[in-house]
Amino acid sequence: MGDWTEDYRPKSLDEVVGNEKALIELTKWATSWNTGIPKKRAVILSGKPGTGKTSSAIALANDFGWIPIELNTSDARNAVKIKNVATFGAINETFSDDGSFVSSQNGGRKLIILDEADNLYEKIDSSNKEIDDLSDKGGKKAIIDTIKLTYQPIILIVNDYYALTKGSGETLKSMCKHIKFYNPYSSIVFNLLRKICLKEGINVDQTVLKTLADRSKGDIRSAINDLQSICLDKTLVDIKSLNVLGYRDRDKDIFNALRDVFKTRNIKSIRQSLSHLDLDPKLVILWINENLPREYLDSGDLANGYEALSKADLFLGRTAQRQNYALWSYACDLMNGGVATAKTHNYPNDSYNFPTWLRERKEFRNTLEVRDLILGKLNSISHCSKSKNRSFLLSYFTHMFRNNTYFAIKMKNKLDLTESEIKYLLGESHQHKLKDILNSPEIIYEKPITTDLTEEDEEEKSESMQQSLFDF
Amino acid sequence: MSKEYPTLDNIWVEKYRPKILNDVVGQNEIVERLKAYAKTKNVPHLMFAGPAGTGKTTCALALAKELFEDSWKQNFIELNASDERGIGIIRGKIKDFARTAPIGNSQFKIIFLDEADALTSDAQSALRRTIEKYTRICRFVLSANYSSRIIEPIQSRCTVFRFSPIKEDDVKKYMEKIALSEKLKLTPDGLETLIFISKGDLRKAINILQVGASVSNKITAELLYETSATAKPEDVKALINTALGGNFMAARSQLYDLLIKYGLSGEDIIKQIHQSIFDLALSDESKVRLIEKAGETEFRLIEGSNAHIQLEALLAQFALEGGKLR
Repeated sequence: MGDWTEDYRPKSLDEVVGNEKALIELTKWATSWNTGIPKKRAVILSGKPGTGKTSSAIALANDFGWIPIELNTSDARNAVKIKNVATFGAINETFSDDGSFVSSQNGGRKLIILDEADNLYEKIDSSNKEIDDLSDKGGKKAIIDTIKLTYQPIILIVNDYYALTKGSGETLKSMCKHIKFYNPYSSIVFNLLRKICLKEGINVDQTVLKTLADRSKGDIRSAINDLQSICLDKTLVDIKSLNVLGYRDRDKDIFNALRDVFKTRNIKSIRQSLSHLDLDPKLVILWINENLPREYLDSGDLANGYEALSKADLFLGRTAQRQNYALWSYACDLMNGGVATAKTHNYPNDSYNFPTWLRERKEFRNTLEVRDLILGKLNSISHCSKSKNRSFLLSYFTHMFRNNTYFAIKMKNKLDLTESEIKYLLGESHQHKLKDILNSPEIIYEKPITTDLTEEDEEEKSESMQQSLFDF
Repeated sequence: MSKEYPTLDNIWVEKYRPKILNDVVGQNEIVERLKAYAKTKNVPHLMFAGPAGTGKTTCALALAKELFEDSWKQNFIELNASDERGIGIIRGKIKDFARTAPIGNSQFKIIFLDEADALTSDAQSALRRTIEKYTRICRFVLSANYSSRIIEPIQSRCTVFRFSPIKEDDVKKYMEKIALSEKLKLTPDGLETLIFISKGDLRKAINILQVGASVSNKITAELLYETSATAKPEDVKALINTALGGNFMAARSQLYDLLIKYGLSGEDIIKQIHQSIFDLALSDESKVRLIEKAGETEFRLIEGSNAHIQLEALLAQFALEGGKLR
């Protein structure tokens, strides 16, 4: 029995499940190659793992009779390699498998598939930031150059569209067509699983298929993998087989654990219930941290609870620094039993929240990356480190940038600021200036407009002052 | 009517950074010694210690220019320890630069290592060996806010200069000089405000002045207070007051803003908290307890703990102490 995820990989776009809109877009783009080289020579397929991006790319190649050339993480990844393989494939005409020459004019194209393009480049040495930046830029630059040069269609496949198009990758946004892949509904996954069972001649309980489909949350590959592992050497699969997979309803488990910690005080039984919870303590501590102040309303209980929690965190830190996982158990005991015994009251709270910290961090991650790019650029003009610029210059710089469009334009040209960097500097309140700054010419000859206050009419002018600044 | 404007096409802290030792503001004795080094074309290893904005980087740059003249760019390298604080920077960049021969007719080159107190102790030990090994062709100028954070063996190899905050008179003269050249109208109370807010930190004074100038060419106290207050959203005072008032959840969301939206490090925040404890309306006993907790928090951050959890725990202590007042 082979690997089902490969055996049942769709041969044609018709067999790809879900994402109809994306497939239509993809076909449109591919068709545009029939009449010459289209404006957008590459597409970016983005989406969660297992949603069918790679399958669609390969199926597309099949449907159009193109020869797929794949590059993925198993190849050595760096700028030179990309350039060699992709540009070679890109600007050369095609020989078919039997050796006969197929001119690309006759439709015999190659489809270059850059899989996992968002982490395409091996970091040379993670301790050295500057080299990282260079190698990353080199890699993205190679992609951009390849797309500019190519006579063959290119598909970039990423999980994180932002990671690819941030910083030096920003040009990719305008060069490529972006097609999003969404997680297919569980009913679609369910139907697919049922089809596979039929073909394999295995009788699988419908509830099992439904559970697998639900749990996959739209990750088709994982659903098929799970199906294959419970069907191993069986012709009849019933509901009990699911236990093999050791699945859990994680959310329900964490809620029960939190209830134990916050409502009871028997540290031995809390320890037991927590040890059944197969969760990383680094995650558990965030859940407790989130809900502790929601539960312990008395300021003494809160302070004591945090005392225990912060000590648990200290042990987690030590574990990480010394790579000594024996220390984890102390961290767990402190965050569970320590927090549990800190209370002197019973509290009515009965609902628990997902960690705000994680949610907000995720939301602002991109913003912070943009900020770091700006700090790096400020380095070039300030004789200061990034951290020094962050503490001593950035907030002032941001202010000047918002207050004075002339300054903003000058700095845009001097530091070569990108659109997203300018957006960051302007903040929500000053976005209306974005156009003026972006559309400004390279060199400005006029003097900046600031206010001329003469002693007499200072009073009334101070009001109109704000006005004139925004007008500019 | 002829119009006159400030030129806002550069960052003034760089534009008005003194180019030669003679122009350096304040630090007269240090400047005299550095001029003597430049004249004799020989320099020992140096360590510049002192608070921010007092001329450490400026002196290092000016010294290099006067020593090496036209070839200063080839013989001088500037590194920021806080961006790459590990041992990698010592073994990599510094060693590579240190072991190549000086260019022109100079006998040595200079490595300026800014924020050397940010280096880990491992990195400092590695640095010590590098200093010894290449001392014939390479001089080090280290800058640090606190000389005590530099390990003894390195200190003993350097001549240490202590930079003090710039005197009021010197700040005043420099602000007036900039105002004149930028055609700003700097009112007397505006000038006083610059001196008061900057507390001897010339970089801060110039930054505040430029932020003001980006709004108006008339610099008054009012304008400066307005702009500098909003220019520093990452002030922790609001955070502390919320916690003392007992609204922990609000304090926590302010903390998350500082850490996530403004991207401050936990260490930035804990240092500011420490400084502001003294001005709180609490009993001295409460203050001492909080200082101890703050110290423990900073220690744990260095030990690799989660900044937000540790700081939340500290805020809970503030809420507790604040509760005793109510």
